[in-house]
Amino acid sequence: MAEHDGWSLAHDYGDESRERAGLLGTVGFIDRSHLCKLELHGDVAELAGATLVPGTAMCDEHGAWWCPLTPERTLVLGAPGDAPRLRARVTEGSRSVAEVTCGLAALTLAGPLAGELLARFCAIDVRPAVAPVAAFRPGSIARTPGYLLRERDDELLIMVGWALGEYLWQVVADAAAKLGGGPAGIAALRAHRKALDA
Amino acid sequence: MSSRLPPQPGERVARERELKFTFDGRPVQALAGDTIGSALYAAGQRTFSRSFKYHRRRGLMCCSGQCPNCLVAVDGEPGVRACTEPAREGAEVEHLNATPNLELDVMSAVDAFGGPFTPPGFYYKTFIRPRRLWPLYEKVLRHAAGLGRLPREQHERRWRTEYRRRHADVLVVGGGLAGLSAAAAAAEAGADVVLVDDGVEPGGRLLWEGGHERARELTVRAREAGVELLTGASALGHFDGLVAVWQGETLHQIRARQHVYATGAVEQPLVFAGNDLPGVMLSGGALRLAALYAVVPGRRAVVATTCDRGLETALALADTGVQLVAVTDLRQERSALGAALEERGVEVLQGWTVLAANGRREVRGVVLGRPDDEAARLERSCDLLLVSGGDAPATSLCAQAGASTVYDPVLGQFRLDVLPPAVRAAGQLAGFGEEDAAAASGERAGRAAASAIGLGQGELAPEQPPLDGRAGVCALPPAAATDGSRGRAFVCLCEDVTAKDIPRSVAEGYDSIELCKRYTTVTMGPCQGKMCQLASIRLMARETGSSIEQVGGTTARPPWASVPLGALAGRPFEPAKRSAIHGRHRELGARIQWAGDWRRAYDYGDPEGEALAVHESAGLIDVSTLGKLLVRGADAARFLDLLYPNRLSTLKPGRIRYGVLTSDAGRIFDDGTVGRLDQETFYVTTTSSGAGAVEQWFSWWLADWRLDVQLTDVTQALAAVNIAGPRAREILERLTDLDCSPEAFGYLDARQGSVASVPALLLRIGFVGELGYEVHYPAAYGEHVWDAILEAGAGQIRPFGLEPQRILRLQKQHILVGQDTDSESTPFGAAMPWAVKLDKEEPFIGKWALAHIAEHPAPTTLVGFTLPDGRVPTEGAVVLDAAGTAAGQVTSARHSRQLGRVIGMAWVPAALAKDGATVTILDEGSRIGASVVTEPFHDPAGELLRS
Amino acid sequence: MSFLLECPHCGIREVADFAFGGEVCKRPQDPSFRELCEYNYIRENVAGVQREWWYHRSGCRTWFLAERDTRTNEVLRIGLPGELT
Repeated sequence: MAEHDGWSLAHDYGDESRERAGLLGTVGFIDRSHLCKLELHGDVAELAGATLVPGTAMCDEHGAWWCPLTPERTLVLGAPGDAPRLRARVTEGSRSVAEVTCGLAALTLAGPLAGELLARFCAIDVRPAVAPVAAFRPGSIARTPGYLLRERDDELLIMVGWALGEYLWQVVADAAAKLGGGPAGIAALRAHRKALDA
Repeated sequence: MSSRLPPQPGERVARERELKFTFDGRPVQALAGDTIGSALYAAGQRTFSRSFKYHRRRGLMCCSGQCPNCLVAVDGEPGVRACTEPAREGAEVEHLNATPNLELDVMSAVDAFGGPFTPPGFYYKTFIRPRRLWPLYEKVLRHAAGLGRLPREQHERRWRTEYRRRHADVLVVGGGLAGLSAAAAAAEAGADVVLVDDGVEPGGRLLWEGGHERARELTVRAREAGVELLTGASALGHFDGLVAVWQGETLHQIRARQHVYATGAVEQPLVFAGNDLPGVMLSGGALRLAALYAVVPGRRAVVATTCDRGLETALALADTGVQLVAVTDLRQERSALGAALEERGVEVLQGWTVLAANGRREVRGVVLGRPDDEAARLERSCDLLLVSGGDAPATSLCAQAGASTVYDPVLGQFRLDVLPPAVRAAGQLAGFGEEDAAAASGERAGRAAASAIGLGQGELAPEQPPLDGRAGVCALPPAAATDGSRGRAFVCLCEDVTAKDIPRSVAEGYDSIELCKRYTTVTMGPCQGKMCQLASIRLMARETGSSIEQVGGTTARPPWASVPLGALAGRPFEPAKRSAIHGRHRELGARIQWAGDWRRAYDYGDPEGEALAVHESAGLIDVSTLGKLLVRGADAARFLDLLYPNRLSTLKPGRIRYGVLTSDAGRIFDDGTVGRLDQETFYVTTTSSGAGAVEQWFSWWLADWRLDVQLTDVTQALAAVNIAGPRAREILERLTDLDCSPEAFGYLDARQGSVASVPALLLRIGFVGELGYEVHYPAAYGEHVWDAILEAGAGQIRPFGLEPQRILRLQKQHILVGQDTDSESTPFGAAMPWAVKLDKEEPFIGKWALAHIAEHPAPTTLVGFTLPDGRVPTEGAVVLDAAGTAAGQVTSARHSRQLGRVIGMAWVPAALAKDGATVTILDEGSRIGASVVTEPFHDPAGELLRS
Repeated sequence: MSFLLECPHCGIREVADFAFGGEVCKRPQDPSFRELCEYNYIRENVAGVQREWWYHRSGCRTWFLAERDTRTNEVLRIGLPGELT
């Protein structure tokens, strides 16, 4: 475990290099429930600097995702370190903002088999042609309300209610094991992303 | 003489690789590539199973996994078809339905003597008296019939499959020539294609009809075009566009935009006396044995056919060295193939068919005859009888997709008529049985499917009419042929239904095909009608004097292929909610149980003691499961005034009010508190199990009324605990900067502050009847705040669970919606008239119904009661009225250590709803007198709550 | 039952994603007792096309209207309240 931005997070599960190999070769899943999550009501075009299109999230210059739920409601996701900026930004004016950081548990499925893993418990179509990077899909995940965001080519971020986090973890871990995957810490994900970007 | 043929061009067996398995304990030699059935047949096994009812010997018949004859158990797994199950080294294969063994089955006495005693409906008519003996009858009958026995203990999850959702542009079902062509063509046009085939390799008929090279080339072409090929995969059904496919460990759920069905046809057997003897085989079955596994199907064969299919097989088998004793072709005109056979010196009988097969253990000879000439009789000896009653297009999956079928009198088969949108048929299913026509129809269907979703270019050639339905292609066999002997002729091999059972069924009034099916169980066995539907329709037509069109078919239902029930039970999805403090409850050894969709701590081992601690010092309970809604906006107060029967717009910021929610029929469906945080912000709590329904209810009315209100469900975002008891205040004061004095933070006040350095919302609520504070705070700090409170109150505070909370709230007569109320309860009946403000101007939900109910009181009322003795009545026990008839029921009852007596709540006749009245409770036969108490049992004036 | 339904915001999903809200019927104002009972308890229950409430429970949590053929489960139109005329 490690401390990051006030959160106690899983740095690794004992073998970071094996976790990285999993992300590269099969699939791994990473707890990212610590992401800052805000639900905004009303039109956000001005705040976001762009008009959001249903089904597609927008990534701002700080790496925060602006995900349109409806024309009236927007889910904003940011790194914990970016949270103060985001909160300050979205509370400008008399906007109605709900803090839902602890309302949604989040897992990243990463690796070449991320889509196959998802298909074991979710009916949403995430073929790359249909759901490219930035595709945002509210819908049932493991038979419970959820949101799905393709953050990168090989990364799917899934979110369900906070109280269902342990349940989702069990479902994902069970399905991943059959595909040769397992949990990965944030260290492995960070290194994996860095390697892909380089 | 060897039972294997010399190497065959398309054979699947690898002769240099031998393997061994056992059949009923005896070792069996096999070649790699064999099926269990082919290896057993090569080893001389002819009897594979005993039949469902008569325990007759049954042998290989279809060799394509469709008929029930070769059902065996493999490694303890029953219901496996030996003819398609690959032979594996070390597998333990056992027969199913025979005692003590296949050769000597005592139950076959049913066949020898049971004739007149085992018609359809026999059990129901015979074993009804005396009624008390049915359990005994049932035991015997269950043992006598059936197709095997399930192992007593299934290893947990042994059968669990993985669900796999697959989205595709085009799904092709059937990997024969047409299906492969369709898949390749669609993929080459740019479509994302999945092809499903139940064989171990794609190719279908090509594989045993000399086209294996072509099959392999096409497979390569399809793969290179990017088709995902699922082999060994059975399409089970088409459900509103979703196709379920079972492939070993995986249950695919395939959702495609376009469907191409190329499921081919099923060769039909003939109905004649002794048609189930081992050695009677479908022509295609023998051909598969010879071509794929190089197994000699027999030495001396008779072929009985109604079409060219049987003649093709005869020629092919003649090439392998099988001696053809005679060939009957029911058609009057000799076809080219018939002439070719005759040139080889084979006796070809035009207009003849088989009337009976004879033999004790297996076929030894046949009686041939002409349906149009009773005097014509010929007997021939043989060890193999091949039959072919024509090819029935496999229309079931298409029909499930919405296609209609029509009877084709020339073909003598039901074929597809009108297809639904986005569904195409190709190959023999569509009437293109001939090789090149099948390939062309597949190509066309594949390109058309791609083009329908905007892929591919070029004009599609107009479709040619199918050739399969032209005149002279086949003759229609008699519904049932017989040589006049007593031999049984089977319509349905799976369920042992004979040709005589259908007339019996008609005579008893079951004269439509759907009724006959249910009465005789014809078509309801493992083959699901593949082998028997047409035959039963023909018999029904003959018996009722109707045409086949008039009789019609039965509804095609899933599953199309046999599938173990366990294979359908994939990953268990049981979404369990756990509070952010759940780990602590586990560590404390709490009894965890379901409460709605939450896993909750019921108690920590001592419910009554935990309840007592709340009265004496302090208790801490995790109430994170409460539904929590933020209702914000300019119209928030008005919105709540419309939803609740009491008034919430008058609530001052920082104050809380209890509210009950009713339907427009005035029935209670949830309750909770509403706190006003500021002018435009309300914090609504609901029951734990009602949270989802309330959010749905609120947002529904919001959608209809379109008010300026924003709803946010924060149920899971916030953890919540209730600190209750006389010492709650002093413990809380150690953790918060808020002024907790009764003057600054009174009963039903809401305050925002920090608890253990965590931002929190505090509500002074008295559900458990003592001074109490609900603390709501971000879920990520769940354990931190829980720990801090327990630490601050060390020696003074004790965790308590749901069960003690139920005792505590019962002492206060606080209702639990769903426990003390049901779908008919109203606030008036539940003795809460104060929760309804009928003078409110707004047309609030339930207003008109409640106004009516206020004037027409219900006959029963919810009250508290106490019992003198220590017995706790069962929840649900009946409350009697003065006349001794049931009037209401006990909804809650507990022993209270604090009060030293049994207390409860019950619906009682309205006339008895007054303090001191006695009501009679009828509980499991005994009558108990209880006294009514309408005030809370504990602290009736509420002084402790306000302290 | 596994037909597809289109959410006005999220697009096409399995019907299991949604909660069914029943036939659309107008809430009466100051109804007579008979009108109230009909509103509460009586539905058309047509074998054909009817207008219904649906809620995307597992997704964006929006209530919307759909016109569905109850015989075939074919959904002809969808829209937010006020959009369908």
